[in-house]
Amino acid sequence: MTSRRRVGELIVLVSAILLGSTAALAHERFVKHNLKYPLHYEFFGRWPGGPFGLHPDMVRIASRVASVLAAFFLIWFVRRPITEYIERSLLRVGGPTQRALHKLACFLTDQPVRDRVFHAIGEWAVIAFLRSPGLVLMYSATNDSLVMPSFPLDPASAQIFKFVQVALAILILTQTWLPLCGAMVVGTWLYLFRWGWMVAVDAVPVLTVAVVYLSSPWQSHKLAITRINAQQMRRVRFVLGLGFLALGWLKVYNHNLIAGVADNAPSIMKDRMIGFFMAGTDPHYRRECWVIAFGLAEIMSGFMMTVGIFTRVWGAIMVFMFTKLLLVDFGWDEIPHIYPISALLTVIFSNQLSSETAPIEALDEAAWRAGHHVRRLAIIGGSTIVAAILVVFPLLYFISFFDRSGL
Amino acid sequence: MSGLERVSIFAKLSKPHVERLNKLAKRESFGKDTAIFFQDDRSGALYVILSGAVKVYQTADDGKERVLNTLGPGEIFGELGLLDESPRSATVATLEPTEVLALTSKDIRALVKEEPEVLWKIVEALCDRIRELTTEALDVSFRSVPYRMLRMLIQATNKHGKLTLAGMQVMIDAKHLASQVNCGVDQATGILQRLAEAGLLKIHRDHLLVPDPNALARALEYEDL
Repeated sequence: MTSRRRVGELIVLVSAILLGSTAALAHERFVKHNLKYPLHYEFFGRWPGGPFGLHPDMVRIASRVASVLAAFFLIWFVRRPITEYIERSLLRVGGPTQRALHKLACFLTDQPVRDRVFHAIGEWAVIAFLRSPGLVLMYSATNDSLVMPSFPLDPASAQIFKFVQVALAILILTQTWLPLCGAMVVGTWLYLFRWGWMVAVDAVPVLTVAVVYLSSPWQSHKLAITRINAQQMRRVRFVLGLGFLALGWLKVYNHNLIAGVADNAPSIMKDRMIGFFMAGTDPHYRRECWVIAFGLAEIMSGFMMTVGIFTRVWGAIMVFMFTKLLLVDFGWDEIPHIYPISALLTVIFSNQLSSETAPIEALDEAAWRAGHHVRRLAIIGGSTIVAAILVVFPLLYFISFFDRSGL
Repeated sequence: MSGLERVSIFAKLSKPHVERLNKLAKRESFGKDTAIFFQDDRSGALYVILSGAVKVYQTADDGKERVLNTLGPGEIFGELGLLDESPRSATVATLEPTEVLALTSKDIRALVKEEPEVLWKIVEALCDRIRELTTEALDVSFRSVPYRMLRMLIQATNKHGKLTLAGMQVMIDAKHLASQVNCGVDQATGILQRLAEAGLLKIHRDHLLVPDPNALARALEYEDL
């Protein structure tokens, strides 16, 4: 290791600690969205006589989410035969129409889309993704907050912390010392644990850009970074997905928070997918069912992205959701959402997507080549059922033992 | 007969084996400008061209295409994926209405177990491809664009030129040739026009006509190196 590298790493550590200390002074409060009227807390706890000791409506919603998850898993494993059949047997078109349909199929199944416009949007998305945290920091500095308006700065330390945020923003916008920027972001995130794990979990998606910064060269200001390599993309997808997965469980665990958001902005309750998950449930527990359905839907989409199943489709749904939050539901206060939107666009328009299901698919392909159809069915069916059940039920059951009415 | 017996890799097979393969092989027809398979598709079959012509090309992330080869009747493609089972490395699309025979990897593997000679033939075909690519790599380093284009034109004429009363008809254009020799379309058009002025070919909207393929081959000797 060269001495120059050692100095660089030392700067990273010192800066991260310094920023962490500043954040400690600055980050005083975590603002809740207050409930307008209380929830029926008995719904979330142990329910005597219910399946697995849970409220029947909760199990109904969880079963629907698990079924949708299983369906997506199943379609994922057979996506290639499906697209091959549609392209080669059903449509049988040639020329530009065939090429356009093939690109669409590639887009939907996370295959590389080899197209000039797609490539150009991908480059633009990376540029925006790497710089948007700088814009968000500038915005929060002018609003006396830390990243989001919901994280206000303490007046005593606001001045210092505003300058630190602006300094970091300048480094980010000029692409200077990106590994240092990454360390500062990680340092800030780690310090959030001081205010409780829920605050830190809420901020997990912020780490997405940090993993790219940390794996960038120190001479980043000399480079035009417009692509993200396969390894970086895997980390981005993983952190982004894990962030949403954790946020989903946080919503289920801390039901007051998300119910409070809905009380203050009722328009977010009008969602077709959530409506499907909670269809037929007891109207008496409408808000409680919505909390569970909303949380589990986020868990499902987060899990799909973490594992790499229809990443582009789920990414596109999330982009729609964040854009709606930004433009329709909350307005200007949610402008920092340009960061997750650009992160998701980077993922959607990348040709470096991979999936954690690759080992299962390799087994399936070996069975397909050998003509072992029963083995294929066992591999696909088994992994689908196991994943769908494990993602949804164990933690839901475990959480029900905790009384969260006072959160 | 399906035509398998005319294909070199199956030429040495015993009659019962050819008949068995004929039963297993699936005959498929494709219109002009139709992809038989795309780059990154999973590979599951080897194809034998019965009639027509195809181009083998790779597409970069930014959509730029590079033609690697053009193939005609009797030639095979898709053999790489057959051996290593990795995704298709290139797209194969028809240049004109084309008929192919598709043999699944499962059938070929079963045949190779009984007739190992088939595997050697497939390896020979692969060696030909590697030799072509090596020659092309050398050409890119040491030969001028007009030379490379003329060589590609001669190759295409010999491989899948159609004999007509006016000469050999080749279903390629300047864009295709430019992609194959890695030059601009304008430059390729200019070279084709120069060859047309010399009477070596005639340019039509969707094809080229070579009145005398031997004259075209001789021109290569005098082309600027």
